[in-house]
Amino acid sequence: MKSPFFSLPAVALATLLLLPGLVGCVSKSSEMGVENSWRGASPPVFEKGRSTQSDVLRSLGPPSQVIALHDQTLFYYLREQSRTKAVYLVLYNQTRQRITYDRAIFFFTKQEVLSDFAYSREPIAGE
Amino acid sequence: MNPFNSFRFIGIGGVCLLLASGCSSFRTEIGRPAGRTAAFVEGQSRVEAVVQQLGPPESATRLPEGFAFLYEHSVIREFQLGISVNYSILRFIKFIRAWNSLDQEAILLCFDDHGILQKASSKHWKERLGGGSAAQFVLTVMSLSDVSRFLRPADAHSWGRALLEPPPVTLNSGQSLRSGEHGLRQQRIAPDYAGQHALEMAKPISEKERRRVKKDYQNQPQPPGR
Repeated sequence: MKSPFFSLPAVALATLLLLPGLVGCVSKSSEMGVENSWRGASPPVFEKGRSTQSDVLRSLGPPSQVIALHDQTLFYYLREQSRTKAVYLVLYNQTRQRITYDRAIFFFTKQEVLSDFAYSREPIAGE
Repeated sequence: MNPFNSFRFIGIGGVCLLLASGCSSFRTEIGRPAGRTAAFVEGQSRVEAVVQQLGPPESATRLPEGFAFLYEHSVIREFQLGISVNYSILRFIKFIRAWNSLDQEAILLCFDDHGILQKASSKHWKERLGGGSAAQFVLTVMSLSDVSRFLRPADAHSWGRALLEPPPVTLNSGQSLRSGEHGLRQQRIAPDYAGQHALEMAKPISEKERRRVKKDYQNQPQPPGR
């Protein structure tokens, strides 16, 4: 007599054998925004009280945003990166997405002299 | 072990595996934790110290008596428990139940015209984003979270493009909260179709468009020179 469990183990075994063929993984990233030259191999050097708006524009290009404060002008540079990693094991699937912002901010006086600046502590690799 | 028991063991194990198929975990993190703000003293700390410690803000704006910085950090999590039944055509379908949560941190710092910190406010909270149930093809892995509100590109990217938007948006750019000169835009989790944005007469996006937001965000064209 044929065992009632004969078909079940066969199905389970076949499934287990097929599973490795069904697994997959994904790794992708996308970036947008201005080029983050301040992370480059030879990053520009700025000096508070000496560098000017022209120095910054010449080194980094047009900013993402310019904000006119009352006594100061603010240049805001932004590069945005999205990285996704996923593992598909059929039985368990995991997706992780990380969005990182690499920012640089520059404050200028009315005389267009750099009064302060800062970069993000979490860099996106520049060119 | 009895060969019959071996088959039985494998069979029961296989059934369990098939029943538990399709569990999924999603995690989306936007930004980074801002860090400690306790070191800042209202009326004393200067903007130089703030940007050196916290880095540039998520967004900045001019205020009538100075300017303000907003820092944000969001973590969206979703867990899906999936089961399937090894019977007939049902074995190709999994039934899932999803739970979503948000871990949000926001810091608002206001400065006077001299760059002296006037007000500091921060909050870190967790909340449920909802959940859902679905029946999907067993090999489909799809998030049930609506993350379209979080996955929009930063406002700074579209700063110069604001004048090329439809007339209601362009006419509103003089008061827009996204220009950095008329107040901070609201946090990412706030709705776009209330308050000052109502002047832009934008329609709430459909469910199909919400799904497209995530797809488009992940397929951004690379800028020239990259």
